[in-house]
Amino acid sequence: MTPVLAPLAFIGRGTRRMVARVGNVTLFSLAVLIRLPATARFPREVARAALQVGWLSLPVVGLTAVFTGAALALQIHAGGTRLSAEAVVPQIVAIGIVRELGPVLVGLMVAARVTSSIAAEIATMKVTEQISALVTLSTDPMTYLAAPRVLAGLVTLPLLVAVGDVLGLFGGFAVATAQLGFAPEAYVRTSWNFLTTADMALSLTKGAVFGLIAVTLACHAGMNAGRGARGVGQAVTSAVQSAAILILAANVALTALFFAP
Amino acid sequence: MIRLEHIAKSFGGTPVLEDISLDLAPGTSLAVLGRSGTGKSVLAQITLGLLAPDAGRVLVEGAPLTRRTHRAFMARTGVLFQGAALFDSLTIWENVAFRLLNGPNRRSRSTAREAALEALARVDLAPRVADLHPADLSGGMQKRAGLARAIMGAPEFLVFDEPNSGLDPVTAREIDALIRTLVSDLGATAMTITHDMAGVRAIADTVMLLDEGRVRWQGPVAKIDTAEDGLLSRFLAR
Repeated sequence: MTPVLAPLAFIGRGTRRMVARVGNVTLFSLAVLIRLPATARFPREVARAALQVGWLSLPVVGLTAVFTGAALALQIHAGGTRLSAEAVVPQIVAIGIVRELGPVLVGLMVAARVTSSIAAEIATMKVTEQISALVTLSTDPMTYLAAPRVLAGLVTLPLLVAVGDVLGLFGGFAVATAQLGFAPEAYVRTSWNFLTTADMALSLTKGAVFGLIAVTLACHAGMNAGRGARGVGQAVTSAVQSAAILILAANVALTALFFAP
Repeated sequence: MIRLEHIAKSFGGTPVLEDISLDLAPGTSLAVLGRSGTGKSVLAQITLGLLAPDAGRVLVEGAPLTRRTHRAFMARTGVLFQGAALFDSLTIWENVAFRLLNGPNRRSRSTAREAALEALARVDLAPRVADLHPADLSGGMQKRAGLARAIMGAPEFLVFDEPNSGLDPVTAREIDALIRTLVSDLGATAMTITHDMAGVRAIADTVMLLDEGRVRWQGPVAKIDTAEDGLLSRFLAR
C-alpha cells in the first residue's frame, strides 16, 4: 500500500470496526428486549438487579441532586442579579433540574456506579466460565443475566430520576430560602406552577432511556469480555465510556424530540 | 453414544484441533491427555456444544448436535469446570440445586435444598457448607461442590475439565476417587480432560493423547505402560 493510502485505510478500518460494534450492540439490545417477558421465570434475579441498580444508587443520586440543585440556585441568583432578574431562580432551577440536570446526572452516576459493577461482574463470570456453566445447566445467560438487569434499569431509573428531581429541587429551595431571601411558600408555588406535564414526562422518559443504555452496554461489554483480568478491565472501561457518551447523545436527541421548535 | 467426526478448529488462523474423531460408548470413561495448549479444553467445549467446530460434527445418539437439540443434551449432561465455575452470588446449596431452582422442571426451595444436601453428602461436604458462598470455600471444597452440582439429576454424560488442577496431591487423589465412584454409581459416560497421569489411571478406562491438535495415541488404560510412544512415556515418567 502506498503511503498516501495508508491514512485512508486506517480511517476505513476504524469506521468498519465502529459500524460492526454498533451493529453488535443493536442486535444484543434486541435480543435482550425480546427476552424481557421471560424474566418472570427469575424473580429473584430481577429483585437482586433492582436492588443493585435502583435502591443502592439512591445515596449517590440523592447527594448529587441536592448539591447540584443548591449550586444551581446560587449560580442563577448570581447571574440573574446582573440582569436584575434574580426573581427567576425558582423557575430556572425547576426547569434546569427536571428537564436536564436531574436525568443527566442520575444517568451519569448510574453509568459510573452500576455500569461498571455489572460489566465487571458479568466479565468475571465469563472469564471464570460461569457463563458456560449456565449454558450447561440448561439456562440461557441472556435471559438469566442480561434481561433481569436491563428490566431493572428500565424500571428503576425513572424512579431514581423522580427522586433526583425532587431532591435537586429541594437543594435549590434550601439555598434560596435560607440564603437568598426567598419566601418558602412562594418559592414552592412558583416552581410547581412553572413546571408542565411535558417537563416531567421528558424527565422520566430520559430516565428509562438512560437506564436502558447504561445497563445494556454493561451487559454487552461483560458478555463480550476478553480473557483474564485485562479483559475484565477493558470491558469495564469500554462500558462506562460508551454509556456516558451515549447517555449525553441520547439526552440531546430526546430534548430535541420533546421541545424542538 | 456420543461421536465426534473429523472435528477441526482454528483460532486466528492457528489450527488448534485437526481431524479429531472419537466414539464415547455408554458407560465408558475416556481421559483426554496432553500438554498445555494442545486443544484438550477446546475439544471438551466442542463436545458440549459450547463452541462450534470449523469442520466436522458432534453426534448424540446418532443425531447431530444442533441449537435445537442442545438444550435437551445439556439436561442429560453434568460438567465440572476447571475452576469449578460456581456462581459467586449464590450459596453453595443454591449452586448445587441450580437446575431444580431455575430449570424447566422446578422444585420448591425446600425440596431443592434437600436434594442439594444429599448431593453435598455424596461428595463428602458437611451440611454446614450449604449456606456458605463459594468464596468462603477452599479450592478442594469448591471442586467438590462443583462435582455435586454436576451429578444433580443423575446425568448420563459427565465432563470433567482438569478436575484436580490447582489442588494438593492428597486432595487431587481424593477428587479422582470421588469421580471414579460417582461415574460408576451413575453408570454415566465420562470424558475427563487432564494432564495428570495418576488421575488418568484412577478415573479412565481409555486414553486419548492429543499433541499439536491431533490424536497421537489412543487405547485402553491397561496398555499405556507398554505403549511405544515417546510423549506418552514422558507423561508416565513424571
